Amino acid sequence: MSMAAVETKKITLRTADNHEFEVEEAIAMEFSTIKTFFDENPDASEDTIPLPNVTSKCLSAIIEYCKSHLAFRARETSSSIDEQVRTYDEEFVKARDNESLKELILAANYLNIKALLDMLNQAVADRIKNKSVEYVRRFFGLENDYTPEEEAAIRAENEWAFEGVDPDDD
Amino acid sequence: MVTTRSSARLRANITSAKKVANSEDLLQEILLRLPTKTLLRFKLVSKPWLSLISSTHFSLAHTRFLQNNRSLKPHAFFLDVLYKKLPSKFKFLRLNPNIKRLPPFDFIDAPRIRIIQSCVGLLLCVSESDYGLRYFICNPATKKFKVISVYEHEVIYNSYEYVANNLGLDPSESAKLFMDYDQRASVNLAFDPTIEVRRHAGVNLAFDPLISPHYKIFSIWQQLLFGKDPESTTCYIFPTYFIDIYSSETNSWSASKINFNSKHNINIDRAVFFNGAIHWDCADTQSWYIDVNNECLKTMPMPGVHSGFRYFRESGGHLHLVVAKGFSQLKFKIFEMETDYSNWYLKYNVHLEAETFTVVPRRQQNRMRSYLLSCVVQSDEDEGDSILVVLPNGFAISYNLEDGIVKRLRCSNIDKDGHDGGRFHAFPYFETLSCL
Repeated sequence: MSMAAVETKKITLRTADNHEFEVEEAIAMEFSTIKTFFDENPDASEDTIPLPNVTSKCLSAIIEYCKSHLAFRARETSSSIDEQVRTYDEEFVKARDNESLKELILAANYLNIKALLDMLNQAVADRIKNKSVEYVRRFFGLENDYTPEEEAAIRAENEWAFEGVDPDDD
Repeated sequence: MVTTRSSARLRANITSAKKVANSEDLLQEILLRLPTKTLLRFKLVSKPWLSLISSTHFSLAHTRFLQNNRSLKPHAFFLDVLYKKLPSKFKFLRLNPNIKRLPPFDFIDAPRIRIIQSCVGLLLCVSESDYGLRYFICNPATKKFKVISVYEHEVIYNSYEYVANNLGLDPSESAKLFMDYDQRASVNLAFDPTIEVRRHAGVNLAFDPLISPHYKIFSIWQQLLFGKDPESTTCYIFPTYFIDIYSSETNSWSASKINFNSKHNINIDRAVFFNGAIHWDCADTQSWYIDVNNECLKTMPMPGVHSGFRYFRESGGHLHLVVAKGFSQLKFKIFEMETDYSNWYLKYNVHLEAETFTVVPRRQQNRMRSYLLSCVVQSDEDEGDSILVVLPNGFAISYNLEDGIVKRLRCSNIDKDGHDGGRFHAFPYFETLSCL
């Protein structure tokens, strides 16, 4: 292969909205989809990788996430590092609205970044776990395909599970 | 491929929401992370969601997710009162103050129900009617249940008086000696011992979704063989056991799969399933456990303590035996078993009179004729070991065995549900979607 480079290798990624991002190889390798691609095509490292399913907004957030987590992992493990990681993840999620979270999930799924995907899935689960059925339908853009009788029957069977539901805030 | 700005924007807008919801894999990853109660509610979101949440593969994945994340903690303990008829509400000791409502006990039509065992979200219960005992397993959260048809063997019952007379012995004067059947050659017997009693001793459940989605039922029968010493008035009694095994995987019974004999009184009704084995309590120095996977029996040592108040349970990966001195003294010896089954050691010796009276109002203290109704040892990773004690009038406390902190717990009033000498056993309620 090529001789050891003096500077760190950079990979170029092109998003769906035609923005190009240059990222360090270490970060690109966090995306299992890309890592697999390079494992199978070792000579392709010079090319620009197209990511038709990822917007620039998502990709820049994801790159930030991977950069920060790589930095955390480079430090020694300790409970204070764990605490900082937790805080970082919370902040990462807190400011984003439901739509961006969902976009990020799709992007993280496409790029196959397991840790990020697990974290985002947990964040969505936490957001919806005490919400009403109607809120969840709106959240996922789903139609109610039950007849009123069917709905009443299921509700009656699980009536005890309907306590403690948060009021809708959307 | 060059894309125009507007079509790119359009693509991004085909609501990511719909894409997430339409991808069952992605949706499942989110649903796996929701509590059981939330999932029961979200059955109402849409028919595809109902189908997914009710499916066996999702229930298994969800329960395993909880187990693997160590998030499967009991919300409460169900107390084994007699439920004369359903619908009813469970009588329980609440562990998690955030849980306000438990499922009702209303999905089966059977009289005189008692809970016998609890395994990761499934309860094994027995119902007593004029026609005899009927066993069933159920998941109270999903309201699913299945009746167990125990493999029937011929029941034989002869009273001691009858047998002794037949042996030519005076029942009021002959000595009864219980012996291991294996040891019969060591005594002088007039003839080969004969079976005079055969009865059904109990039913145990083995279920751990982390190991297998299938469960096994063990139906244990006891036989008493009687023999006589020709030169004395000793009546030898040899208790033997055989176990039929049902597997939900094959939906069939194997009769007499395990046979053993023991002169000791084994508490088959209070089985504890964990670590892939069903464990029984015994007041002697030795007891037994069933290796569920290999369907064979092994012995384990016991502390050899005798007491009427015994609570035999597992928590935090260890077997515990709590021995109480009596009704009105809150003194407990708590033994813990080594994980390699090598021996038991006395882990705690506590006297809780003063602590319990911090929660019982003064004017009630004198009226408490019998204090101890039930107790449980609970091991928690974060909190350490605690003992939970149920007192009359719906009072209950948890006493942390490591730092001595006392907390009041909400508990059902079970004063009027008295049975079995006023003692109740407690079964952990794990809220899961476990399928039968």
